[in-house]
Amino acid sequence: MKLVDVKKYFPLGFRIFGAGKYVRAVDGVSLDVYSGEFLALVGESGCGKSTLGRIMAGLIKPDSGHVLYRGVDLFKSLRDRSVRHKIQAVFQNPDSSLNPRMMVFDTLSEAILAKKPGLSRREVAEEALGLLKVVGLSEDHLFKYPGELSGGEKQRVAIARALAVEPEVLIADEIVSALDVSVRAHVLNTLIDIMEKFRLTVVFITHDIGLVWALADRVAVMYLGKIVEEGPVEEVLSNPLHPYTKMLLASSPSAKLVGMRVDERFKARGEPPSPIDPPKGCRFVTRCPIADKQCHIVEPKLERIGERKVACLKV
Amino acid sequence: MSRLLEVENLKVYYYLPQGVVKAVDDVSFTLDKGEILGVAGESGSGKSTLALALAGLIRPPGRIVSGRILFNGLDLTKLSEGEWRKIRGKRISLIFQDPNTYLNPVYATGFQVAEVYEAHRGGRIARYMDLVKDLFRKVKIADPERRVYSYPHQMSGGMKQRVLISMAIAEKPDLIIADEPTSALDVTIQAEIIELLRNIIKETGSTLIIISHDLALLLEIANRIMIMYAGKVVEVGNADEIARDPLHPYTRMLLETLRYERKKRLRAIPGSIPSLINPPSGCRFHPRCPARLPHCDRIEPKPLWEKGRVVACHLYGG
Repeated sequence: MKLVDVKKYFPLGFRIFGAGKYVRAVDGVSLDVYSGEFLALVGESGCGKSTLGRIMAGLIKPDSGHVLYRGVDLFKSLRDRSVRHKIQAVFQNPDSSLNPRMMVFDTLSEAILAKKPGLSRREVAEEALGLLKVVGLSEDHLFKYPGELSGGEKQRVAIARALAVEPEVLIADEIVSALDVSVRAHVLNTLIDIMEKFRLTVVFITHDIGLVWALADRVAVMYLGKIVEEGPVEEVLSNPLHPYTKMLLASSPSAKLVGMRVDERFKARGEPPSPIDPPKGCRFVTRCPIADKQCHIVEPKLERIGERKVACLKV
Repeated sequence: MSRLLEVENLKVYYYLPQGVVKAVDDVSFTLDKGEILGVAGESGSGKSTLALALAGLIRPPGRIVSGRILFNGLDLTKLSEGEWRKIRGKRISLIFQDPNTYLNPVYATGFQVAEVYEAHRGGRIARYMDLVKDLFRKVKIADPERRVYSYPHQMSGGMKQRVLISMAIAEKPDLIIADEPTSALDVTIQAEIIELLRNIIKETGSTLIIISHDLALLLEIANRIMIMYAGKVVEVGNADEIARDPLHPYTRMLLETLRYERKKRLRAIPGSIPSLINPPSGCRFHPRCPARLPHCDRIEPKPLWEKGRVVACHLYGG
C-alpha cells in the first residue's frame, strides 16, 4: 500500500460559527506499507494515527492525496467488494464494534456469507468454528452474546470476524489498550500467529512503545497530523533522531523496563498544541528542547537518512 | 520515619444478589510518613476498593466487614460520616482517574478549588482566590491569574488533572491517595504529572499511595510496591528490590509480561482473573501458578517476612 501526501481535515462546527476552521487530523502523510510487514504507527491522542488508520482501511475518504493499494487507487476501487475485503480493521473497543444483540455465530456468519454467498448453514457453522479456533476460542463461544464474553474474548471475536473475509491487510487500532496485561499478551500472541499463518500485513496503531519494540518490523512516529520519523524498529528505538521520538521514549515507563537508552534532556515538557492551529514552522517547536529560530519559520520535510526518514532541521 | 498508617486484617465485601464479592479480603500493610507506596494489580484485584476504604467512601452494598485502619493512631473504620468530613480533603485527600467526573462543568475551576478551603475553614469563597492562584502555580499551571477563571472544557486533560492535584494538596494533607491518576492521559503528559506528584511529595513531606494497573509506571515513582491479586496482598517491598528479584510467582510473571523482548512471543500469564464471589481455595493464584506445590489449593499462605519483604506464598518460610 502506498500513501501519497494524504490529507484529511475535519470541519469544525457550522460554517457560521466555525468560520472555516478545520482540525487537521492528517496533514500531508506519505507512507509505504510493504507486503507481509508488521508496521507500527505510534503517537499520542490527537496526532491523527487513528484517522490515518481509517483512511488506510478505506473507511474515511481523504480530502486530497492518493491511497494506492497494489498500484490501484483504493477509493476508486472500493465499490468492488473483493477489494474492500482485502483490508480489514479491528478497533479498541469491541463493545462498540460488536452488535450486542447478535450471537457470535451470527456476527461471524454475516461476514462469512459476505465473502462466500450461497454457503449452507452447515458450511457456515464449520467455517465459523474454524475461525474461532484460529483466534483461540472454542465452540462453547459460538452461541454466546458479546455480553457473556470477557474483554479479551470479545476482541478475539472481532479479529475472527475480520479474518472471515480473508483479508491481506489488518489494521489494528489500539486493540489491546482496554485489556489487562495478562490478557493482552494472549491476544497479541494470537495476532502474531495469525499473521504468520495467513501471511497478513499488519498496521498496528498504538501508544505503547514497549509493544512496538516487541512486535513491529517498522515504525512511523506521528505528531500533529504528520510523520516525524519512520524506519526499522531497531534503528528508530535504539537511536532515535527526532526530538519527539526521544521525548516519547523518555516518557514511556515501558521503554526503560526493556532497557532502552533514554536521554533525560528530552523529558516531557509542555502540552501538544491544538491540531486546529498548529504552530508555524516545525509543529514540535513549542515543546522541543533544541529548537532555534529557524525551526519557527521553516517546516522540515521528511528526509531520507539511510534506512529511515526524519523530519527535523537539526538532524 | 514515623508510622502514618497501619491497616490490619481489613475486609471489604460487597453484598450483591449474586453473592458476596470479597473485594478486599484480609489485607494488612503499613505506611511511613513521606513514603510513596505504589499499589499494583489487574482489574478485580481490589486495589480501587482499598482506596475507597482508606478514604471512608465505601457505600452500600459495600461494607467494611472487619479490620482496622489506624491513621496516626486513630481507627478510621469507626468514624461517622460527620467525622469523616473533617478528615477527608483535609488530612486525607484523593485524586481520581477521570477529572471530568469530579469537576463541575459549569463552574470555574478556581472556585471549585476554593471550595475546599471554604468547606474546612468557612467564610466567603472569594477570600481564598489568592491561595488558589498559589496552588495553581505550585502544580505548574501556566498563567494562574487567568486560569483560575477557566472552565473545565477550556482545559486539556493534563491541566484538569493538575487542578485535581491542587485540590488534593490545598489543605496540606498527611496522606494523598491517587487512583490511576494518569491512566486517561498521554504518555508525555503522564510523565509530567508523575514528576509533579513526586516533587510535591518531596516538598510538602506528605505521603502518597498511588494505585495503578501499570507496574512499570509505579516502579518509576514509588519507593515501595504492594502487589494485589484477587483481593489479597501477595507481596510488599522496596521498589528496586521487587524489580530486581520478585519473590511471589505472580509478581515475577507480571514483571515478565512487561519486559518485552524483540520479536519474541509475549510472555503471558496463563488462565484468567478469578471471580471474587467464588475465589479459588487455598492460594488464590494457584490455578495459574507455574510453581504450584501440592498443598497450595488447600492451605492459604500467610503473609510472612522474607528478605526484608512481605510475601504470601508457600515457596517461602519452609
